[in-house]
Amino acid sequence: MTMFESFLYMFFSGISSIALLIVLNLLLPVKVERIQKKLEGHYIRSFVIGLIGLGLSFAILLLLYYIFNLPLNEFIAGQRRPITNIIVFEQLLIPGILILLFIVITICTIAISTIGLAALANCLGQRIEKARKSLNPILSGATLVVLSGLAPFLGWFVFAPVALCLSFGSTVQAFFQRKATPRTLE
Amino acid sequence: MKDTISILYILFGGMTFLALLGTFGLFLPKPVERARQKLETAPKRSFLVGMVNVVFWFVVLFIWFVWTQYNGGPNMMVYLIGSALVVLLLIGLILPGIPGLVALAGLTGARWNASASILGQDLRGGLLLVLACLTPYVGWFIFTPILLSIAIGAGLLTFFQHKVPPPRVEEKNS
Repeated sequence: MTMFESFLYMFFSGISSIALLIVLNLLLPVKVERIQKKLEGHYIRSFVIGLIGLGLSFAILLLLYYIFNLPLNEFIAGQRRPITNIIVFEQLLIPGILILLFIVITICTIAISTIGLAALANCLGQRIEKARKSLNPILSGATLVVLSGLAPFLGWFVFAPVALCLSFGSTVQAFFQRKATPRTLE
Repeated sequence: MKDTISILYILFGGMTFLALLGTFGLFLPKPVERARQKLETAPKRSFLVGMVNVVFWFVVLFIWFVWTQYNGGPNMMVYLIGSALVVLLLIGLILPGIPGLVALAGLTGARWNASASILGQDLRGGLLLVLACLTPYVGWFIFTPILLSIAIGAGLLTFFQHKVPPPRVEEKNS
């Protein structure tokens, strides 16, 4: 891939990411609003929860990768079981379950982070709208988030991880929040 | 250079798909409107119905593929009938999916700019959806399957919904 093609790829990836954030805002307005409330109210809590959640997800993914690469052949060969059992167990069942778990965890992590990023874009957009009303809030917020994440070094290694942690944490809080039970008057 | 051509091919493919969405929106206004109502009232149900149908089709395709590849293969007649059935099932998914997709594009466009014309809403929403689906990895493997499932589900629900007859007004002769 030449320099020009990499640039083209980055450019269109950026545009399509902006579109994805806008579409999530438009198709899931209630959920995004709920996540945004959690995000605006508790920055540090969202960040910490996101950091723990993302760290756990990566740890589980690494563990799955490690188990997948373990030499199970020797372990199972020493058990003296029928060869058909070994083939089913070692070559189909365990790798299948591991791959399925890996895919499910990856997809859930990415989906949760993306919805949170949409809420972050909405939050930024509303703040821009307060200053300048002629701009579309969702478009300006999404553009700002994506361009900030693409900024060399500072964006890649500081903004993007922090934004991902914030968005993951706020989404988790919004999805798994406890419903406050109304107090009964005696 | 090959990658540049691929990127341009995908871009022009997206543009033609956009035109297709606009055309279907103008050709089939009633199914699109019904699908849109379903999308607004029952999005989760649409997603579930669509996902079940898409998974069912993939299971049928997988079984058919495995049977034809690893079982010595069926004779020509069975092969033709089986292939025709798989294609028919695919068409049965695509046909209701088109109004669903147009409705989804219209819904997105309407939420983006409610004052635009219907074609404008379809085109704007379609552009956003196509770009979102083209996002690397997240768009390809998460957003596009979910979007297609919702569209197919909404389309299927509108095609197979019970038409509720209007309540009769009985005149009392008293």
